[in-house]
Amino acid sequence: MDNILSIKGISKSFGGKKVLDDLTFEVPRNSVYGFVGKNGAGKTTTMKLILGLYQPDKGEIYVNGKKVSFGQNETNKYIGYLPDVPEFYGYMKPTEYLKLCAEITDIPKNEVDSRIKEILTLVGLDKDNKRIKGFSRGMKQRLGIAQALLSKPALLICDEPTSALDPMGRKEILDILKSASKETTVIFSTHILTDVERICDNVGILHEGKLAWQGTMEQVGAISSNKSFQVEFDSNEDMKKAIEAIKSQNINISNLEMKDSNLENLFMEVIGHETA
Amino acid sequence: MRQLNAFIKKEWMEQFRTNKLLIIMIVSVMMGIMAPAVAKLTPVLFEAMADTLAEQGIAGIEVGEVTALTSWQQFYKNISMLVIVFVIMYSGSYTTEYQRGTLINIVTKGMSRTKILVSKLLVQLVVWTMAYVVNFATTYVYTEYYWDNSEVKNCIFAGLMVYIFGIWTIGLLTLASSIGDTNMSVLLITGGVVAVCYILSIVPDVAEYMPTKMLGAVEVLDGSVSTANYGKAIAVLAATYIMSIVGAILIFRKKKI
Repeated sequence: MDNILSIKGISKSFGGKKVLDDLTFEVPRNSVYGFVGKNGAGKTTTMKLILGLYQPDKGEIYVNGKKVSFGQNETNKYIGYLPDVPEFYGYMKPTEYLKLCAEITDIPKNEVDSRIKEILTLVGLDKDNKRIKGFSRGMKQRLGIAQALLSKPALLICDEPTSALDPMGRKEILDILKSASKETTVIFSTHILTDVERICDNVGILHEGKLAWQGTMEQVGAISSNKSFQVEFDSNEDMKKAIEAIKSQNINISNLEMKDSNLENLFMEVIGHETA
Repeated sequence: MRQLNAFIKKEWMEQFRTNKLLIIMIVSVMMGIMAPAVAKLTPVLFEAMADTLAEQGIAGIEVGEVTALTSWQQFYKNISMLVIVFVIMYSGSYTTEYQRGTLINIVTKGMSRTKILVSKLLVQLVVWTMAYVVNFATTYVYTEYYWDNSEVKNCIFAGLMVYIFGIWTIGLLTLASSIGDTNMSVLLITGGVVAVCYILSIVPDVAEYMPTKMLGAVEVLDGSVSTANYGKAIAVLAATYIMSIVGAILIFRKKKI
């Protein structure tokens, strides 16, 4: 398969603590790859290694078939990067900042203005041309996506893009990423599993410096649907009746829980937005 | 070239929008006025206070004749302040970017780190040149108005010596910024190197080679010391400046940002 990213046997330690241990995985082109792990599992470290911001102790990384080397930026021209908390020059306006980015990535001069306009519309900042200093976190995140997508990179790397946002902001960012994935491969790290379920088609689970599991969302579905169902009822009475019925058949229910996103649904309802 | 231009534009915009340029310019104009003003006012002050001083038994203080030389002596007494203000203002040029992570977006877009450093260096050199020229010119114009600059020997030479000391300090600041992670560490490294130069200058033979000799350039104004004495210190200054910049580039390229 054609892979946009190959990581081969990467190890990285910080002060004697092994963060990544012989990590190997590949990301196929035109996929949305969910990179899942606990806080401190090494997700950000892996991303910074891909970007050449850290030097690996061992192993090699290839982006678009080219080897990544530390400190140099040759392979970064294929990559758009959204840091977990993107920071900008507060005294600039979004258009000015994106213009700086466009000139650095050498976007042809006659395309710069139209490209900036297009991308600001995509992330919904086209009407906010004030200094970045006054931006909210969600707006900064959107500008972060704009700067990452500006050069139409082959690979978009997002480091926990939704962790710091409220549910509404999260949904918006996920929608933007989903629409971006039509043109580019997206890798995004998170510890919010519902986000992965919402937009990813491939998942890798990072645990103790190794990739503990990797597969497609279909495989996730196949594994987890062996024994569990999610059933929705119109009312609590119906639910109680159904449970009584199950009990009367002497069927044991090993686990019963309220649906995860109940609160989220309510939140969306209250503020007047439909869930996806 | 386009990358370099873009980043220079960004640095230049920063000078205006964060009011750095405005502040340094106000400081240079004020200091430029202060030197001739102090020279002009000191005798007037002494005269006004003569009675009070005499009552207290302090008498016979002779205020020598005030000339253009007095004005320039005041100028060189104050000038290290301008360098210090400059260093403090620009000590965060890199470190604020490290701490806030603003360079990450830039570097991960394939921007060469050397170009980032060169952009910052060029803009700082331009700002220093502007600040110093304004400072020097203000004193020059006032001194010319009240007295006569032609009474002073080697006026421009002495001015140039302090100017190149400023350039050397910016080189040091750049090197310190590639090493240090915080504003404070940059100030400590820069200040530390200057302090070491001063301490070594206690030995007169060594003092001849120290870049800090430039700050004492006031001695050539009355013609008692020849400008030729500055050759060795200028050579050391130029060599250590180039070493600072080359070192800064090498370190900055591998810097964890």
